[in-house]
Amino acid sequence: MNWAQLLLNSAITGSLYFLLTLGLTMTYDLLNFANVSHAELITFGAYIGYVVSDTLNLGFIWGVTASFFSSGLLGIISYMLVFRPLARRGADFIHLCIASVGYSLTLRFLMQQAWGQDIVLFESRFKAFTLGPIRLSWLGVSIMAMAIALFVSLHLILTRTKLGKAMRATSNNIVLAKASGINTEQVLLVVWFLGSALAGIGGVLKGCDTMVIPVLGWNLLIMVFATAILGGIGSFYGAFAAAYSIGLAENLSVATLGHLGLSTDYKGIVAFGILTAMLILKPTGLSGIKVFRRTLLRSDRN
Amino acid sequence: MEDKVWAVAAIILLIGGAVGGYYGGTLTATPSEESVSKSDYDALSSKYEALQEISLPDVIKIGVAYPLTGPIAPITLKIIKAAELAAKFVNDTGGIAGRSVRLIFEDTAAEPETCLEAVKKLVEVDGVEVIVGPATTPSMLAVAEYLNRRKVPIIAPSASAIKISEEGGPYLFRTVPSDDLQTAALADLVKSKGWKKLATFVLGQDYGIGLEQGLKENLEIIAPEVEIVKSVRYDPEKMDYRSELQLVKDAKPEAIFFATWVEEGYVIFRQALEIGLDEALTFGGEGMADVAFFDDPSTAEFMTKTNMMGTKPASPKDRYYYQQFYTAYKETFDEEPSLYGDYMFDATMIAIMSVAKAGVYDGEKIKKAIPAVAEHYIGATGQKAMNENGDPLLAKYDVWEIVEGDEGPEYSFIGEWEKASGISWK
Repeated sequence: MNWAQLLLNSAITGSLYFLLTLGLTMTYDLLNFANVSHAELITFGAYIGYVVSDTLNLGFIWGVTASFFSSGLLGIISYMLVFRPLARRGADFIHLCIASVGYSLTLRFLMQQAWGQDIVLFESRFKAFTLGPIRLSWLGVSIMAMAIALFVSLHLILTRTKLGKAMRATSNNIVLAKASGINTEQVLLVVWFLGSALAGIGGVLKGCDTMVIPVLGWNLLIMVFATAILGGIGSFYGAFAAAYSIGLAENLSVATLGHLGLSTDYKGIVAFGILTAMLILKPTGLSGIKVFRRTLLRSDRN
Repeated sequence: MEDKVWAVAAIILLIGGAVGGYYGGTLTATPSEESVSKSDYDALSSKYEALQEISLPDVIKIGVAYPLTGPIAPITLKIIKAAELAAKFVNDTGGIAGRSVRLIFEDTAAEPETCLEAVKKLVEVDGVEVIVGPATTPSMLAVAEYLNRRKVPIIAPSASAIKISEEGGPYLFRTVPSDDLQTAALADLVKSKGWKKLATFVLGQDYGIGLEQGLKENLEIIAPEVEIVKSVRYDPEKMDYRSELQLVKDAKPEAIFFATWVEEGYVIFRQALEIGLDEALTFGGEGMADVAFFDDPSTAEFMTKTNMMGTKPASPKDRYYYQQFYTAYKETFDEEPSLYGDYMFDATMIAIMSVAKAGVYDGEKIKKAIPAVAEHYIGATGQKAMNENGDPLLAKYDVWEIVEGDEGPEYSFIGEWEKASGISWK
């Protein structure tokens, strides 16, 4: 068993899960509902990335940039057109969830109409190289670098800026935040933009690593939800730890199942086993564990 | 004494009556040809035609349960064109006794549950009594119990797993040969190449598992010295196979057997190239013999670099019936027929001809007609006589390898395999 390679593969998987989960966990926390249409923001980002990168031939970097902004914009539009009106009319958790399922299907079929059902493959090819016992492509490097860069940036935004403070205040108690003069509406728009934009980046990276199909985001949604719940809903640091834990669990289970000669279909058992155990032992997720709580409290004090 | 006389007389009368009755009855039931006048014959003929008119509907419906959406739709949408071509062939030449054939398509999305829904809709709502499809083995097995109970036959053009022969039941038929034969061909290929350390990397569903197990069983018989150093069964929805491929790489096989669909194949081969799994040779079944793989440059590069070889059910390309299909397909759709297109054509033709032979639009009677029609049917894919499991009795496989042609990678046919003679190299 090449453990170094396994850890590296886990890091790539975990980085993708982190990018994909962040938006979901943030909006879940602020509006208190599970946004199923988050899956379509992932797919949308992948398609836009493809159009800019390959169809318009502007290169992969521009593809990623375009995905960031277009998915972010779509997130804001989704919030303003669908979820904000519903929330203002007093829609509760169930109404919003069901609305997000319907909205998700609408977006998916619109994308299907626009790009068809055919598989879309990125033409951008990333060279692979050997580094000691491991072999890695530049795309893998980009995925990990992007996740780390975004983690650091968001950490700085949350802890060092007024916007970050406002975000944390809105997340803790929206009424109190409003009473304190925070423009919570603006904060919500920023959170929707950032969360959706990160999903878009995750989508274009995943799409480039594999392929783009209308159900790209949908197929990832269960793992994204698992990561959000394991990390603790609304927890930025929890999501980071959970994403890498699930990435490692997934790759370890593949290796174990492979050694046993069983189908890797069963890999979910390990990931969801961890999730179930976490929910039984610590329903608040990883963010409920002291070390993460301490980090959060420290952030709050700043 | 008087009683005895009456008893003997009664026995004589009884025997006489029986003998007379037998001959009389025989004469009435089977009049000799001379005894039937022309007017009798005409009357009988018109009566027969009248009966035929009543028993077949004006439009003969053939259900086509195949993926129209979903991940394999780009390929299956091409395959179903061959069904359209078969219906067009029949309708353009006057239909069946003046009745036209209409195909009713239902989307199975390559998912067993959706396939069962599609088949139920065809049978219960559309009143279809014979179906062509589905695309994959799990879908075929999902509809087996329902169709056997409902007595509606189905003819599969591409579901090739061994499990269908074992568990399918009497209403399931195929134009594509069972992988039982293909795995024997693949084992022969391994033996003839002299490979000793193999790995398998297959789809974790009946199709892939059937091929993996069949290959292992055949190798145990004909080449017990071959060692399988790693077997991986992958999850088609995972779309990230680095860890799985790494397991294979760590086992250092001489050759790797692949059984994937094109969609996951793109990801698998891209990632295999990325992790440097291109030092081993590769081989596969008919699923790997699809030009669609070459649409992705990385996939094409991996397959060419590893000198991929394999087997594929052979279509008699030099024969009239294949040529007829090929020319008509190209003229109608302005493209090359896809993998399994010819099997879909034959499945649809056998379904239509079986309705004609049954003379009535009834699933049970059509089912009885299918083996009889198949026995004498020679189609685009050759003779289609079936065994007791509804599988083609005769099968020939092409042996192919991927070579770098003038316009990029291409499949080159390098041999043929038959059960009796094994591989004969060209």
